[in-house]
Amino acid sequence: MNFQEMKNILFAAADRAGLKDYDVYYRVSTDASADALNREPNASAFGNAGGVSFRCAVEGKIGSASTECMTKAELEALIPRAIANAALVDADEEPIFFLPGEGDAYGKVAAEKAELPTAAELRRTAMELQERIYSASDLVTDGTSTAAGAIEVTVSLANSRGLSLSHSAAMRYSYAEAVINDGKEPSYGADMSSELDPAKSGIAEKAVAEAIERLGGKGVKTGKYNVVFSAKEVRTLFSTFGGIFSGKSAMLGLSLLKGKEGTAVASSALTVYDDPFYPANTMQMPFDAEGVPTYKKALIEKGVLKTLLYDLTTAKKTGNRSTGNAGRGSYADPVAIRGYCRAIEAGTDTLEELFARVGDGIYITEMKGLHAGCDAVTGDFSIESAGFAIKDGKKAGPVKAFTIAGNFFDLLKNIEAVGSEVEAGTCGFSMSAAPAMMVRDISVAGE
Amino acid sequence: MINKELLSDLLSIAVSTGGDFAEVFAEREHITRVNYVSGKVESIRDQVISGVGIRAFCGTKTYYASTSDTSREGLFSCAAAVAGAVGEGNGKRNISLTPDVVVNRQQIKHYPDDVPTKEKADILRVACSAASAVDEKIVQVEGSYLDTDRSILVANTEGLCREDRKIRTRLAVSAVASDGNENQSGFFGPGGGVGVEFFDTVTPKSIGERAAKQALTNLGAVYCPAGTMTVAIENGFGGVIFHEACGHSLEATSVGIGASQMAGKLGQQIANPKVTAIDDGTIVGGWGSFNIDDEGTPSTRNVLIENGVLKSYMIDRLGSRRMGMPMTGSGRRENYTYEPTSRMTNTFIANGPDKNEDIIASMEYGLYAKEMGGGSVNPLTGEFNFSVKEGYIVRNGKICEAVRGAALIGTGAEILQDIDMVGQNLATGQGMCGSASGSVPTDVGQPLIRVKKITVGGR
Repeated sequence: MNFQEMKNILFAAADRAGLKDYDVYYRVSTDASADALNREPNASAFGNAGGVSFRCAVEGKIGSASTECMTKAELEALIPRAIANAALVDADEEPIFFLPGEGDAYGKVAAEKAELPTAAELRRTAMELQERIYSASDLVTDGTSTAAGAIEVTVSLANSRGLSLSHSAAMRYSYAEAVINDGKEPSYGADMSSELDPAKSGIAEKAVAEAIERLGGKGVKTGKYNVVFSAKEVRTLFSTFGGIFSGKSAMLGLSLLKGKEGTAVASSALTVYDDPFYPANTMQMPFDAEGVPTYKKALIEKGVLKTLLYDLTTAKKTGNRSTGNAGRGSYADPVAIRGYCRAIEAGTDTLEELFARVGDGIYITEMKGLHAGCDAVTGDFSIESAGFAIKDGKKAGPVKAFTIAGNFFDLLKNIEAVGSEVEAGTCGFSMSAAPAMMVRDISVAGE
Repeated sequence: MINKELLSDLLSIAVSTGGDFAEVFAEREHITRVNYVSGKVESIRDQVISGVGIRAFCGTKTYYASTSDTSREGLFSCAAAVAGAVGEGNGKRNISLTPDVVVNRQQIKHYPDDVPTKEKADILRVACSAASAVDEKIVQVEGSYLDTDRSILVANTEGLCREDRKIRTRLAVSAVASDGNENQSGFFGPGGGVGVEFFDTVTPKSIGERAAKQALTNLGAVYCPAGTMTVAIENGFGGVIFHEACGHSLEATSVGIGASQMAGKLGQQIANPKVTAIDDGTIVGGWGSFNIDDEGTPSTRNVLIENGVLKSYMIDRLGSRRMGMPMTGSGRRENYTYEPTSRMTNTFIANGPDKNEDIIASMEYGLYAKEMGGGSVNPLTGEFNFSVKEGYIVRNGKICEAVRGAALIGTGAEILQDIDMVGQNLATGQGMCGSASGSVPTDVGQPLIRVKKITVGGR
């Protein structure tokens, strides 16, 4: 069943039920992947999954219900379910169903939607990555895995006010994880790219180099250090604390950025954008989950908080305009505030210059368990980390088995310098981009 | 969900091109989640998950396709996608299925769909209001009520054809305490493999209050000092230490491909003799329990470590092929869009020989970790981390001031030897475990234990 047929069934049933305000949100994805392990093809997978959510306003309150089972009977059953759910919600704000007015224009998606690669292409990529990993070093052992895949997602949204939108986007990825053993210890390295061609992405060679570089990691002494976060770990850190920019979290007292618009919340070296049209991102998004046009905006500019992110309801409650950041985690989730590609602007220092600024400290290239070790409400973090020593202003040997601890809001202010080279990468469907950073005064627990 | 003839046809197609095994997995799940924030029931997630996953094996190579399109054409095209990936040919064979029934250990009194959502919303309101009422410093309370009713069907070319229905219920409250300058949070989220009767034994009020009290404790806490020290980890969710430090490294997912520090160590003394650890998917009402796993294998009580000696791994169907060892009822997946792999169920360290009071009394200086958060591990190296949500400094055998913001890190191999005291108050805690086959409910557990030395990531 396609979206139009679904919409017709749901709209007709909603009208019969006497509903005035409602919308239908449908998300469907098609994906394919190929894995290889220890020099052999290992697994192939294909999927297509779709789900539809029906949302309606009843006496000023929103109710919704969703299903993946696209029969007429199941779709029609969504309407009484949504009405019943609306009755149980406590609301103090009239729900808003959006229709673009004057001055509302949907941005143009730059990225062409590419054809999904074939299963054979994906398998070739996974196998070539294997060959490249094994030929890069004699130390490579069992457990070495590679993968290639692609996914296409279509989001459709229609509401009772006449809005009807649909957008498809696709992304592809390749992944290489090298496992090595030098006879003393195992080590590993991994890299990911949105490029399928192993010769162009270079991820096999990078994964092996990373694994080798990590061998013989030593502990570090407990103490306060100046550190450099690699570009990847800057992205990881900002993703983990991304929720602090939510206007709703602020409204509820769950973000310490509440009421800080227009004030300095970070070092003047930091500028952060929320960009639904980030050029390298193939999953660009012209409208949000409420149908509002999306656009690029600075969250932090030279250290000053410029705006938080809003959906329609939170914007109305707080006297702001929607920033086009209504999102849904899955088709079934209630509308919540979500960022797009978080892009941190480049500074002027090369990586070597950042090391030179540190003198003696640590280069953090790996952080783990952030879902548990970070608290976005308080900003506190304590994270298992690994990386390299920085000695006399230069990168030295590998270090591991330590934690870094601090508070993210302090960290923002302690950014001393920002690197000149921005790296973009994906985590799930969301892309982010950042350079490396030097940060003062991080607590390290080790030996 | 799918009739027997159609199942046979789909299996037949899936193995028609050279596969030596095929399996059809169908599921339908109804999820109700009520969300509360700022004194209000804010939204209700009312979702039906429905779909099918078809898989074929060629030796240890796997081919998987999944779809939410469960029309006849949708299912045939899903089976054809699997066959097409395996190879070419048309060696259809007749698959004869023998439906059987496994022992039902579920004892559900109130199925979620029989309880009006209004009652569920009220349960949540009671819990969250109780949290707010604990102290005026509690400035924000968020909560969610969750229940799931999941039916699965598994059929395979060995003739297996089994169905199961699994009910889970959970209530989670997080509270924020503020003194005007800073915020601190507390969380409690118990659940069970039971119906709405769960709240007859664990009252919503007690859940809310516990979250609020933890937030208040943390508000008064100083930062945890950093360094290596002796740590006592309390029962319940404290069991996450075994889950991360050792459990994942015993899954066939990593053992079967040689990417685990625990591979090849069966029969060896890998832990202190006081440690016996069990993965038990048969526990009645357990958060991680089920009658059959997502490959149709009955759940088992699997003794992983006995008196410090490694006795068993957790093995799914593919792992069984790779390792040449029997399946242990460990094949799990979040839903049909994931291929199953070996996962934990209810995993715990059994009661040991030490008295709880002796454990604290034995510590000259260290950390008492009363409540733990989640963590993660790299099974290859065994390097793990997890966070302390509520902790206290121990001095001269006495529990002293509260400390906050600590992560504990180490390696599985070392920590297992360093668990040198095991107490006697075994209890479990509920969590969601994320891995290759998605997010699945798992129980962790242990009595109070002492770890001789571990790196504490404070400041």
